[in-house]
Amino acid sequence: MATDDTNRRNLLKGAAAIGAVAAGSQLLPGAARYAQAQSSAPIKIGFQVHRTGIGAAYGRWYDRTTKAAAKLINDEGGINGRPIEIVAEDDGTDPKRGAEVIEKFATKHECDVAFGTLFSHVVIGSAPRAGELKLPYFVVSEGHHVASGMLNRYTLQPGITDVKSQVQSMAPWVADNLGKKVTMIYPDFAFGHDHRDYFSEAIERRGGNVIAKIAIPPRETSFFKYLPKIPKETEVLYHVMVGPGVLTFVKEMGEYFGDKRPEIFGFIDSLEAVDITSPGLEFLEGSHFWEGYPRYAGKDQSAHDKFYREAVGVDDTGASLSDPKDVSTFAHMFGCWETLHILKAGMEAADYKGPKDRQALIEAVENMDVFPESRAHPQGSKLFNGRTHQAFGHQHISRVEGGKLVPVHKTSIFDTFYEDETDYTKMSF
Amino acid sequence: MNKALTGQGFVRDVAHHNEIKAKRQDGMGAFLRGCALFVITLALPAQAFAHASDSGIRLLLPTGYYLVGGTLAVAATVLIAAIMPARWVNALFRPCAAWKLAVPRIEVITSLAGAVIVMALIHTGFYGTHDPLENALPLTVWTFWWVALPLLCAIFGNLWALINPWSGILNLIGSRGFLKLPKTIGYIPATLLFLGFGWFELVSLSPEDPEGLAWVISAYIVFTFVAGAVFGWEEWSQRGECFSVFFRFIARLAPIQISREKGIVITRIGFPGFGVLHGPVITISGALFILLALATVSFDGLSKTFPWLGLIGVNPLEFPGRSGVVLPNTVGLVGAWTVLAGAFFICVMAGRWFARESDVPMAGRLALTILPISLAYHVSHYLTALLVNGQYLRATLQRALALEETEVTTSFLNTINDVEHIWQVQSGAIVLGHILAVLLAHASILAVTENAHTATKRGTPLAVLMVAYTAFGLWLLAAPTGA
Repeated sequence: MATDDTNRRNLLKGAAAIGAVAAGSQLLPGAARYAQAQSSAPIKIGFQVHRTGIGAAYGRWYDRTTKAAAKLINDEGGINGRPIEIVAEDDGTDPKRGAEVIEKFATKHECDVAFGTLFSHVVIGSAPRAGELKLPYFVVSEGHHVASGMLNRYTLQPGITDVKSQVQSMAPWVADNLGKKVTMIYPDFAFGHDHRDYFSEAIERRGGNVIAKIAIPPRETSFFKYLPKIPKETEVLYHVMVGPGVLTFVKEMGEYFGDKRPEIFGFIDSLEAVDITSPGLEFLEGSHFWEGYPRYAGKDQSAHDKFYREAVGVDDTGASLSDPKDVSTFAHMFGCWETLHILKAGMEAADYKGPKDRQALIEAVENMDVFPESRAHPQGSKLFNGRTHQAFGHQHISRVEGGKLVPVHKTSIFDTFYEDETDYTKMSF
Repeated sequence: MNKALTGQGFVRDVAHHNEIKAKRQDGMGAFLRGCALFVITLALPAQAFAHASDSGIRLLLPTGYYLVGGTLAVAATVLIAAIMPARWVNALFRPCAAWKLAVPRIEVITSLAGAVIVMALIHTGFYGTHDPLENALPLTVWTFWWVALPLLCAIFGNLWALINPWSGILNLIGSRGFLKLPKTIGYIPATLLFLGFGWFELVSLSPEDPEGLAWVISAYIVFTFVAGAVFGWEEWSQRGECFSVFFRFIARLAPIQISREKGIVITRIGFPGFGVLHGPVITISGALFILLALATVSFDGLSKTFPWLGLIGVNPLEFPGRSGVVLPNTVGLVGAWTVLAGAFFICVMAGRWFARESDVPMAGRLALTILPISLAYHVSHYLTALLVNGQYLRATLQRALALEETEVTTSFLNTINDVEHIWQVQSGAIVLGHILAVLLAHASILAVTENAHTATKRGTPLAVLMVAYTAFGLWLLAAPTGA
């Protein structure tokens, strides 16, 4: 694992080798600042992004974060002395289009690697093509599909944790602090089922119990008829509703429970990019949320977090600096920033020079273990499992207080571990 | 409560991680892993990031009241039009002023300029950035040309006639065509081309991809040049070039109408829509074109709603992407046109039967009165796209001019006050569009029927359809969406 410091040292070494010094190079404008490598051509990173389709709201912030990270990397000398070039292509949040985009990266744009994208179905549709074209594909998807073993050696997820580890890591704190008798309300399809299964298992390990599982049909837009199914002895209500019905769900929950309610725990996915002070969300006051990365900077904000927010252009409430009402997809987009920094570290470790070194790049990343909290990893330290191609990291729990999400707990990485389900390193290239 | 990461905690995690790695190296649980892989593969991992956004906030608004109120307003207009003296209705749509102006013929110059701009945009599509929200081609085509230009034409008249890329060049080379486009074919070429355009916009996989779009536009431009040279631009733009037809129809709603009669340019000013009553009458195939334009934008709205997604068996919280709905949405697009056209012609025939009048065909005249509804759907349906992508277009222009770039924001889609204002504009447009259509339809019938009572009878079925379509339009706007 190369930290910012080691990267900087490597760059300085490269510069020294051709008789330059870092101080001198900083005096030179533009591309001349890049240490002279064998090739000064940019390293092309194909950025598969949800510019249109249902993922566009996330794509906008993935784009901003990616540009900020690329700018930083280039300002600091690029990778192996070469600048990086982000080649963005819209995947339309569609798996077929996603595969087409991967093909364009490999054959038309001659990208060195592909990177980006969030929605699982796009990753699952694109990864086979990346494998066929032998194009390293670094996803920022959060899905369990990478670690589950259903993809291939060329697909990695080192910059963001997966939903399985996120969900199960919530159980210890929920059981110890909110209550052990849990009722789960979730949409009745695979996304909700994953939450149901991962969490039920984890809470039972902690001595808790899911006393009711209430599955809501996906087409439902009013939830009153389901709320009476919540058992009276419920101590914690775990909800993972998504889609346009979320706000109605919160409103109706508030009307149903009034002041007497159980503890409430949810996933910020439901309200990602939504201002928590929006009218109708008052009922969430005092409730808790999982956050991949706390939207509101805590009182013990790290210097890395501060730097990251400034670079991306978001304030301490996770909103755009140019429009305080424009709330970012803060819990997810850091994955782009961190993944690009891992790519840099991996390419430097593999002494990456061109597409013939793609396998070496993958092996270099597979050999990484630890990403310490740093400017490259502002969300926190992570451990990388090279066999499953999946990163594991701290998860966060925030409480809604005065219309703000106040960070109250940071899990141990230990809480996010689960047994390996695959070993990609045994797959041939 | 706050357990910040300590150095010791991290060391412990690393140690545990290494322990697990060591266990793995013992070959632990190969069988279990195999089983787990099988199970996981069966139960595809899922994600659902469809967040609340404006669709969710709209569900909190009292849209039901708007729906009832808006529909009643249109129904009340029907009743008022029925009892209103015919001369009042006629006076409303009578041009209030007309001037003879010696306007220079600038069409050739503006069209040549349009051609140069289109070529530059196509070049950008092929060789510029591949990001559709930063490339000038898709932003200009989908945001300016397709969303904003129809609105400008509805205000200022047919601007497309001035800036289309074909007329200038064809005029310069003196092409008048050497084949005659059969009269009997009517607007069928334009209608089929518009159907193809609708499919490309709503169903095809990536209409915003700059390169793909550049290819499609290039092909259409070449095709139109050939067709214009073969049949003559005058003829092809009247019934073949679908956008010339579309913009010409929309421009008939403008309060300013410019016509060239015997070499003299006459400018008339009047109430919006008066041009519908004072221009050429169209045939059945022209009516089908107008109905297709309305069906297209209506289906675009419908295809994203929970009920439609339910009908085609798609989980609205897990939209598979365009590639997963190509067939049902192709069928849906054609089906929407068929249903709308069927309902329209049934109403026209029913009106004829009620009024016991069979001497004057009205389908073409009445189809023109649907234009305000078409424009209203256009405004309400594309408003948010205009508000968001308009910012991307502005940013692209700023980049091109080396100006400081304004950051794009979508906060207005996530705050209840802004969403309510947007909803009011959208629903207001739907209601006003239908009210204008009701009045135009009544005036249109009055123009051929002396007896006001007979006119009311003849127009009633279509008026009922318009009231129903108001309710449908408002329902579409309020419905939860998942695509």
